[in-house]
Amino acid sequence: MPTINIDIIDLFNLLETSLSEEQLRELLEYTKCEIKEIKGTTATLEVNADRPDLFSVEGLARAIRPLIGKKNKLIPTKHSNYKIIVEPSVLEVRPAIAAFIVKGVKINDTILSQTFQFQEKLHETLCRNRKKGSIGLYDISKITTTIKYKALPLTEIKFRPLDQQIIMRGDEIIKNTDKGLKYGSLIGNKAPLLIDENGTVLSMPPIINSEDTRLTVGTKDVLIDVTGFDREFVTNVGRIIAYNLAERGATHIESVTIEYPDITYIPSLEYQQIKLSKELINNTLGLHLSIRSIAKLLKKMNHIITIKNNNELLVEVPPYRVDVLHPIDLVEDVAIAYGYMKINPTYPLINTKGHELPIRSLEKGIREIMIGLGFQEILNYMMTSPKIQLENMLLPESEITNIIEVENPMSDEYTSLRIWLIPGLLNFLSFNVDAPYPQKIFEIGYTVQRNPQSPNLTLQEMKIAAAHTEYAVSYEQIQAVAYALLKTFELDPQFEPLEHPSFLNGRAAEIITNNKKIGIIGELHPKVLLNFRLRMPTAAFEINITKIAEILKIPTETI
Amino acid sequence: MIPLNKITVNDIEYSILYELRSSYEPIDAQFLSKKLGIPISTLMSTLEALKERGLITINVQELYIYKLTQEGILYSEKGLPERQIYNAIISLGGSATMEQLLNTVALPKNLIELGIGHARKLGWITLKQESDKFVLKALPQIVESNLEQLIQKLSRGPLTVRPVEDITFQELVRRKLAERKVIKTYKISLTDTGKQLLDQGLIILSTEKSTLTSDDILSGRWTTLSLKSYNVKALPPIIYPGRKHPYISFLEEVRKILLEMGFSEAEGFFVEQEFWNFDVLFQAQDHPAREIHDSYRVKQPSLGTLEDSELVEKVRNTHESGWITGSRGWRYKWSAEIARRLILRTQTTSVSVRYLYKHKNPPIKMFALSRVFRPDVLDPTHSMEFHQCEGIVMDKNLTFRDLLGFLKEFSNRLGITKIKFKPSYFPFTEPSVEGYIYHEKLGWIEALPGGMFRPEVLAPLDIKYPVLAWGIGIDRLAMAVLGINDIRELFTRDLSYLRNFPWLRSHANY
Repeated sequence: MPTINIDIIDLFNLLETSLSEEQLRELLEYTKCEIKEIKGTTATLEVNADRPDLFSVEGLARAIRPLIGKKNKLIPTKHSNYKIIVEPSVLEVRPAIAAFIVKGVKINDTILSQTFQFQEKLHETLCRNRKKGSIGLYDISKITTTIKYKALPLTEIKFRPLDQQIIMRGDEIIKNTDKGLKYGSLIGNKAPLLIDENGTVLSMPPIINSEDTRLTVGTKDVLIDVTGFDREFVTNVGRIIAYNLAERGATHIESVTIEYPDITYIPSLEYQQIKLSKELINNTLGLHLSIRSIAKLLKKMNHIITIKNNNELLVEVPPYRVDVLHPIDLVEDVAIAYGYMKINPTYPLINTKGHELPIRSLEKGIREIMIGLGFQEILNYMMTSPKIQLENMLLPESEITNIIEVENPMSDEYTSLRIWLIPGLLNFLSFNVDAPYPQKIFEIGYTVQRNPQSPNLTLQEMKIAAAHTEYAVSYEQIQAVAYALLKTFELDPQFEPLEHPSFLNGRAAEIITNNKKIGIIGELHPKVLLNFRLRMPTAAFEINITKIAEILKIPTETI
Repeated sequence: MIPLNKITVNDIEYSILYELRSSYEPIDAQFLSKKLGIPISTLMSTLEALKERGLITINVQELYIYKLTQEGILYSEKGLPERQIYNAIISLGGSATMEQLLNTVALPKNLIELGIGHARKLGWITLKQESDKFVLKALPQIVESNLEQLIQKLSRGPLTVRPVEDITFQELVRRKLAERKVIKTYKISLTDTGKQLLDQGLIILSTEKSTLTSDDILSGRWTTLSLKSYNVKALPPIIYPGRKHPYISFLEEVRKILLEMGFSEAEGFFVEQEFWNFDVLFQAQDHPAREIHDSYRVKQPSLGTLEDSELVEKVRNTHESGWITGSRGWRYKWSAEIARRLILRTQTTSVSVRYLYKHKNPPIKMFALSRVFRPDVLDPTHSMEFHQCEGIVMDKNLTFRDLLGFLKEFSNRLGITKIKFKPSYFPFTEPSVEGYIYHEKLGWIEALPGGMFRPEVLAPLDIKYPVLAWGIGIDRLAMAVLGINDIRELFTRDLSYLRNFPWLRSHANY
């Protein structure tokens, strides 16, 4: 979850009142935010990804005001005479743009740093590291009313990038500035450019703004643009920034005309209208709220409400609330405003009988017998590596075609899923060579291997494996265990000689019952033991529980 | 010379004394135990008795055994952090910035910093300021450090050494690369008295028998038999019972509670298509959780098959424009190819939606208690594989209040009585809730996330009734209940830890 820093004094100034830390913590619960730390007057907050409008102190102040009985001012909107002409050249590079103007704010240091942080947080989260959207803010007094949005080869672009002393070429900006290095991969040889009638460059999205049009202390009117690939998305992001900045005493928010080659339109600043019924709210929440109290609660969440009749109201949702996709999202707003802790939990009696997975009875029986035979249960991760599963076990490399490997492992130790359990047991023993002997261990768990027949192309099966290691241990000792185990389930195992690279020749067998191969058993090859740094002879078996379940007619369906 | 008296000994004592007599040097107790086939605990109590009678001396000596830890083994293969740093700088042409190292060396940041510290201390690298950046420079050639040599030695097996303070061994233990165990050895030799008695044939084997046999009983010999008394106060040999894994005990307890509450168990697929793990759950295809940093993608085969094309179209329409759900949708172009990508499932919610797809009639109470995967480096607080406990309830007229009721009831049955609810966000539920439970030691823990499935999830699955859902990271709960601080202990590789785990701790009255 994203974190933001806010200045508590700044928040109190915006609220025109101060709050105790306890009050603040409680109020922030309504916004799904949480205080992580307070140092001096700086608070670090964890904010929720679904509410990007709360990634700045202005948005938080706006959300808190109605909760403490204060009113939010409605900021008037109108249409400006500014326009952006989108040239065909940019359509292949970064085709969508939206822009708004916020008038009458007095930019000071606090506002600058808060706005800068807000912009960066939106870039990181909602805008997917500028890939989906990239935001620019400019001092409008430095720009003409018509702005062109076009694409140019990097080598033909020249301007002074933000925080730089000199004019640089586009390709130099990519190579020699921090922002260029970080975001350069988002564009090719051609970069989008915003440039006004006087030839003043505003920015080269999504890389960097120009120094010439930057916001400074004292800037009054701010132009905001968002570029990206989806017209609706960039409009949404632009509105969030505009409405939050406008909380700093703006007189107006103004829209800017966008002239696309195919269409001219004005990104709207209007509220989204949603019809909401009392029924939906009460049926979902299990409450009995009147239409009036619902209206009151939604007003606490900054919506504009018109009561239509005793059962229906019209909700006007502020444009910065991009998380509202469906009336159900407003139902949650009602619940939050009502207070989760005020909702009395009810435990409905629904008469159902609980069943475990049928295979669990088998799993439990096997566990009970193995424990009775003196074996300690262990647990391994399903994630492991081909080194443990194949190489250490002397299996041929070609077996890799059976294994599910991940494309993005985080360590060499965990790169794939296990296809059998015995290697995990040996790996476990390798960490216990000094523990008292004999060591007798077992594990029950799932293995996964490739299987072209299933939609997910995999086969997952439950298995049991056991290992016995001590100064001298024999095939017979582990065979006695496997035999006793299978006999418990009225199975009649046969042991057929098996040549297997992991086991000693003449001391390994395939376990067969009801004409099905259900497992393997044997004394591990000394080379295998040494691969795991083991010093004592070890005998082991592995039996497929899923196959036993099939033989015993226990259902193996799991859904 | 004072004349010596005859001494009577039992068969075990006799064999020990004769073994000692045939050796010029003191004999190790372990060796004696193996050679004579006497369990070490019996041997030690017998030796104590012989010592008290002045026949032998026992010389106790301490030894240190050093054994590599998991971390140590890893470094023995890949090199210590300082070596990895050094090699990385060399591969970058002999000098590198911190940022470059962070991108090159496959170690977490704190270990990279640690490695730099050690490499600087060894004089392998130096830190220089160049214009406004700090640059690390490596010597062209270096020799293996003492620590590296020691680790190489240890990688072939544990080392036993006399207890001397050595600076390299100290560093080894301090950096947790190896564990030190102290063992005691017992060297046994005859006293002069013992030797003389043996030489003069004054040690007599007693006619006492040490074991009562079946023959003795059946033949009636037991009536005249003289049986040796045991030192019943001596401790027995240590044996270890077969035991259930403590984490399994906990999971079984949770399963039992859910069964009692009328929930039926289901299980899905560890390797799952993104479709079931994300798309059906209305998680947009560019949602950060779907990025390569947050889910494990399967290398080969990489794409599965979407079976129900009708469902696929419904999901596509819901994502793109909301379909008939009354939603605006995510408003982007949905890709079937992305939905077909195979991943290791990141949430058991994939089991819930598969279950709803198959079972559409109320009432339904289902749970899944199984493993999920997320790309993470294993450390005390993170794991790439962990358990989730997923539950859904579907019935006519279910409400958000009922969801809170289920969460409360479940935690009550786990023995947790203090619980509070806060608003939260999950892409597939609305309204959503986070339940916090109160733990005596840890305070309030975020443990019970839940919500009601969104219409965008239910409509494509053709579900007509409300569905309450929750998915609990059960590992954190297990750690709190089992008193564990390190998540890796749930999958411990320490056999002694499992053998000695206090039974009551894994069977506490939750």
